[in-house]
Amino acid sequence: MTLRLLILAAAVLALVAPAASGKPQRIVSTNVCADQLALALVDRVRILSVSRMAIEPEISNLAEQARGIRINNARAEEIVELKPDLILGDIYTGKGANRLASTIGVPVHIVGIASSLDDVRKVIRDVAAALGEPERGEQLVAAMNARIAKTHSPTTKPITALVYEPNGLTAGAGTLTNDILAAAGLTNLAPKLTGQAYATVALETVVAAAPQLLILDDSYGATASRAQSILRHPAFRALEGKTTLYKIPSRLWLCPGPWVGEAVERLAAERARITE
Amino acid sequence: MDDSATRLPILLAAATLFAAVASLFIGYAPLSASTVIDGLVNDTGTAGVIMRDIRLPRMLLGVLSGAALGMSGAALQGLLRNPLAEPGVMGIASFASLGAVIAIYFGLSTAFSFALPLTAMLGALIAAVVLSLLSGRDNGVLTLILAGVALANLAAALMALALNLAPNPYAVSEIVFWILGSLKDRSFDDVLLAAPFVAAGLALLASTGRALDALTLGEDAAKSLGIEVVSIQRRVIAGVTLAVGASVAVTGAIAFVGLIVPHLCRPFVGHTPSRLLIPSAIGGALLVLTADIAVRLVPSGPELMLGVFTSLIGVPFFLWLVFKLRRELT
Repeated sequence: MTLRLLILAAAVLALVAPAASGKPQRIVSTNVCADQLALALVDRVRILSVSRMAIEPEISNLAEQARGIRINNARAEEIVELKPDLILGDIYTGKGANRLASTIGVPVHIVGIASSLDDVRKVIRDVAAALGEPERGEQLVAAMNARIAKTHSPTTKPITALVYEPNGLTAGAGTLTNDILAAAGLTNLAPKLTGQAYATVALETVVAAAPQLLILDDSYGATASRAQSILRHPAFRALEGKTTLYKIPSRLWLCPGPWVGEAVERLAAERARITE
Repeated sequence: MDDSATRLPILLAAATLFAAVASLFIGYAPLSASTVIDGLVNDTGTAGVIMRDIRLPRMLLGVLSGAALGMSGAALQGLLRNPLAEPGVMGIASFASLGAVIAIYFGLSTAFSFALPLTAMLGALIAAVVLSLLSGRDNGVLTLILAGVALANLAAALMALALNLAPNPYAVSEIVFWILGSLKDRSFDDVLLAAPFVAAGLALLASTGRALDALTLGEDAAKSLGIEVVSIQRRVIAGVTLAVGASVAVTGAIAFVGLIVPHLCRPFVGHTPSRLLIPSAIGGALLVLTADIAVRLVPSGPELMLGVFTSLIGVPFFLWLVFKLRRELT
């Protein structure tokens, strides 16, 4: 206990001078969603450290830009040692780090969770404000809006769709995924199959539901696991002809950010291809 | 006794057939009985896909893995003259899981699909050989079981290590599958990977019946009947390795099947190992099929693992056997 207090005191002494401009200059991000928003919103030099996943191209849209930035594991000690003037975190990872940081007086901004496209816009604006870059935030939101607006075409025929993820998960009502599907002119079948936001749906149920578009989210295709094997099940091959299989990288809708515009764009293009 | 010895396999086979057919009618998609039959026979529409690509391979894997575990349990109990012997308790199934884990998560099975059953069988073989070296001449009932417990724990630790090091984000959470076993969402690819090895293993084990009978009289008596103890030992190890290794590779380790089934069959066929092998294979299939029907009927969100059911039955059974043994030994 005394040791911890000593470390804490030392950390407090080390953290005396925050940035002069008022904008945070020593940003530490502990979560892949926060990493991407920080990279999209501020100059790279202002980001001291990002999470391990930030450099994984399967999950981070800005993996290239993140390369070379110091990696952290959201552990309290390493975060404090970096002497950040802002910590970007989320409600799940690095809880200890966030708590410790607030006790020593480093501001922590928790990146919100998005359950809709409107939430995405709000999260972008909130993070932009915390980083002192509200204009840049508005630009990102405007770019995303423009991308989504372009896809709007009169929906002649509704196309039914279902998202299927490793472990047989699907996204139902009240999820960002559901909102993205709706924006792309697709009717998500998941709310009919499950009352929950995220739920496992049996392979049989998916086959029986026979969506016109089956969206497989298999971002780690280079490596294998039991969880992913369900997405390569021969039953899906047998469905071809009735159901169009479409793969989308989960990085496009896993985290709130302007890239969800690309998810809408890709799905709308696939819908247009099917209806033709 | 002779009467019930011939009647048991027939009764068991009838019950297993019933469970196998029932398992085809049970699933998540609400298919009517006529659609099930139509899908199976004519392969029409989505019902055809559900029946032929999902439910049929699932049922076949239940039969294969149950038969492999049941017969292996009976053979091991006969060979070691140890009522607690079983692929799961002895750590053989855990080592098969370990082999499968290495094949799947480090890309071997992606490069060459038969690497999966082969590495799982290698794992099973390593455990079996280590156990036979450890037990050696000493036929202490508990020595072997304790060695097995140690091996099973070692395998679990190594599996956790391998899954943590694996370059796949889903790997870590899948230790549950490898420890408890499941037939969920398997396909004919899995049946084809496991079936040849399981069949070979079962044939090999079935052929050891006479030799195991002789062994019940003691090693010296067996020798006087012209039976080489070392050669029976090798054949049983090979059979268990083939059958358990290949089935665990595709279903994970389903606990206690090999323990429970031979004990339930023994009152009907007596203490002759040769009469126990076939009923144990059929009974194993019946137990796994029944457990697999149960996990699909329990409304549990994500489907329960098979080991949840087999362990709930198996652990009290194991404890009962231990108490019985204690009474006999003291």
